[in-house]
Parts: sequence; C-alpha cells; structure tokens
Amino acid sequence: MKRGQLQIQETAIVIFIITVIIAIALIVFYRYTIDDIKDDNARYLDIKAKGLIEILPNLPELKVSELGIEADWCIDKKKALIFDNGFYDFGRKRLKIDEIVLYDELGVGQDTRKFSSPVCMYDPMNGRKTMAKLVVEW
Amino acid sequence: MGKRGQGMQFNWIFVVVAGAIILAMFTGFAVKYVDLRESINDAEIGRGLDQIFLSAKSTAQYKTFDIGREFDINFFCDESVNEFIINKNYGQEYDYVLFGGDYEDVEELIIWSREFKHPFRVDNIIYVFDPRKTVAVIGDAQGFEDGLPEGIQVVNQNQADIVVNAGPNEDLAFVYARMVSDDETYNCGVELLQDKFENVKSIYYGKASNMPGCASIYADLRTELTMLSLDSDVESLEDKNRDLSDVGCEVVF
Repeated sequence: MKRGQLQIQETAIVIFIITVIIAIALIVFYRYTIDDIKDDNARYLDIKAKGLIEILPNLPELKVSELGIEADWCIDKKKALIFDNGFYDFGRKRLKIDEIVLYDELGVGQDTRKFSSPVCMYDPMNGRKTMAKLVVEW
Repeated sequence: MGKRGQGMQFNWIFVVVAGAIILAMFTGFAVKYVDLRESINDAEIGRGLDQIFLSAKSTAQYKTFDIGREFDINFFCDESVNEFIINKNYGQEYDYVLFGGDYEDVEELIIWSREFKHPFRVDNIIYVFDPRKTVAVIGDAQGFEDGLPEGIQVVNQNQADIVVNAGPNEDLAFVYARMVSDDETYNCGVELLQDKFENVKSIYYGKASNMPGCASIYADLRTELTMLSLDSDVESLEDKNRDLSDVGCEVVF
C-alpha cells in the first residue's frame, strides 16, 4: 500500500472516531435533556399538588356558607363527612381531615404526594370551630 | 488520467462524503434539539396557563397572560379528557369549569373568573378570550359590559367579530361562555358545570338529611333540592333556607 493511501485511511479512521465520539456526546446530551423534562414534569405536579392545599378549603363542597355568604375561612364538618359517604367524585385524590378519610380512590402502586395544612373546621351541630389537619394525597 | 489524478479525485470524494455525513448529523441534531426546545417552551406556556386558571378558580379575578411571543391555543374535549393544546404540540389536562376558544398567533390572553351561584355557590367559572376580537351582545343582557374585564372591546353589532345572543333572564355566566367558546367547548364546559352542580347539590342534600330539629323544613328543602336543575327557579329554595334561619335552625347553604 502506498504512503498516500495509508494517510487517507488514517484520516478516515480519525474522522470516523471523532464523529462517533461527537454522536455519543450528542445522544447523551439529548437523553439528559429529555430526563430533565421528565423531572420538570414531576416538579410541576408537586407544585400543583401543594397548590391544592390552598384551593380545597375554598371549594363550595367544603367551605362554610351561611345564607349564601362565605365569610369564614372554615371547612363545614357536615359537608366534609359527606365526602366519606362517597358522594363526591374527586378523581385520584385522597382527602383527610383530622384523620377522617374523606375519599380514598388512589390508584394502587402509583407514586403519591402527600401534603398537609392546618384548617379551621366548623361543626354546624354545635356551632363550634376547631382546628383540623387537612391532608391531601395525590 | 494518471494515478496522481485518481488519488486527488478519491480525496475529493472522500472529503465531500465525510463532510456531508458530519453536516447531516449536526443538522439532524440541531433540528431535533429545536423541536425539543419548542416542546419545552410549549409545556412552560401550558403550565403557566394552568397555574393562572387554578388561581382564578379559587377567587374571582381577572388577569392578562402575556408571554411576549405568539402562540396557538386550542381547546379539546371528549368523554374522557378536557385539555387545552399549545401550538398543537403540548396538551394540558384540566378538570375545572373553563370556557375558551381556539386562537391562533395570540401574544396576549385575557383570563377572568366569575362566581356562579344557583342559589348556592357552585364554582368559579373561568373564561379565556383573545383581546384582539371585538364583541357585541343582542337581547336582554343587563350588566353585560360591567361584568367584562378591562381590555375587551364591546362595539355595535355591525363592527363586531363576535355577536352573542342573550336570552330573557339568562345568567350572564352562560352569555360570556358562548361569547368566548365555540359550540364544542361550550357544551364540554356546561357538562363540567353540570357535574359540579350535581356534586354540590348532593352535598347539600346530604347535609339537609343529617341536621337536627326543624325536620319538616329540612324535608321540604330536600324535596326542592331534588327538583333543582340549572334552568329552574331558585326563589323557593332560598326561602326554605331563610325559613331555617328565621326559626333558629342551622341553615343548609
């Protein structure tokens, strides 16, 4: 084999190896970016689940209402207990208030997020307001 | 052609082929990466909107969503899913009562929420509108303009992009819903509102079944609740609830 042909073969091998290295680097970078997007999705679901803690006590299904006025930032215990009877379709979320499981429909084997917050609870049977713990599992 | 000439020709072919392969690889990667970045941007827009919708759901308010670049938004729903799609690429599911239309190349959206009562609070309804469009209302729609957020132009019928009909004594919530959405998303939104209404009604029915004293008023109230629909009159139900307060019993809603 002549010297010129050898040089061309050497150059070809070097270019091939560099190309393979660059291709591997690009694939790794691309995969990393995709994994980062997946993590981003999980982070967003966390934020959304935490946000539920703020939204839930304000839902008409739970909040105290008197003659159409919702003045108190309190959960109505009577309404909350109705959740326990399976009246309300709350999807794949589980709500607990003061250790009372209000709705339990979590999928089996799925990743769950759990957040809790103190809430005011009003009992219309005796007119008393107490503190309770609202737990959201999602 | 001599041997030297053939060698040169081979060199050139080799350089062109190798260069083309490397260039194609980089171009392919660049195209894929641009697609990926666009998907990330679309997801960020979708999540940003989802957050605004959730905050609008908890308290009645109005907001302008402006990201400084154009995007498309489409609302889609079927029996199993309600979602809005950004740039025909990223779909964000939602389970709140939302009315919106399909808008192309929007840079800004007006989002507002309005409390819906019948006669108890059912939900805060969210509306999404493109402020470039002008609206007009015909029929009996008292307070229509006052209920709209700033930035929505109400003009006369001949100049309007959207003309909405208001029925006699129709709740403005539905007039706004028809104004911002097409038939398909309107029906989906009303269906979600209907489900929400039935849920809240069930909870009040359950509450009225478990209250002590005033048995006959609670029983009447339960009968009224059973017959209550989104179209029905609410005065009698409100009267029953007020009667409870008048005789010193706990009100239901």
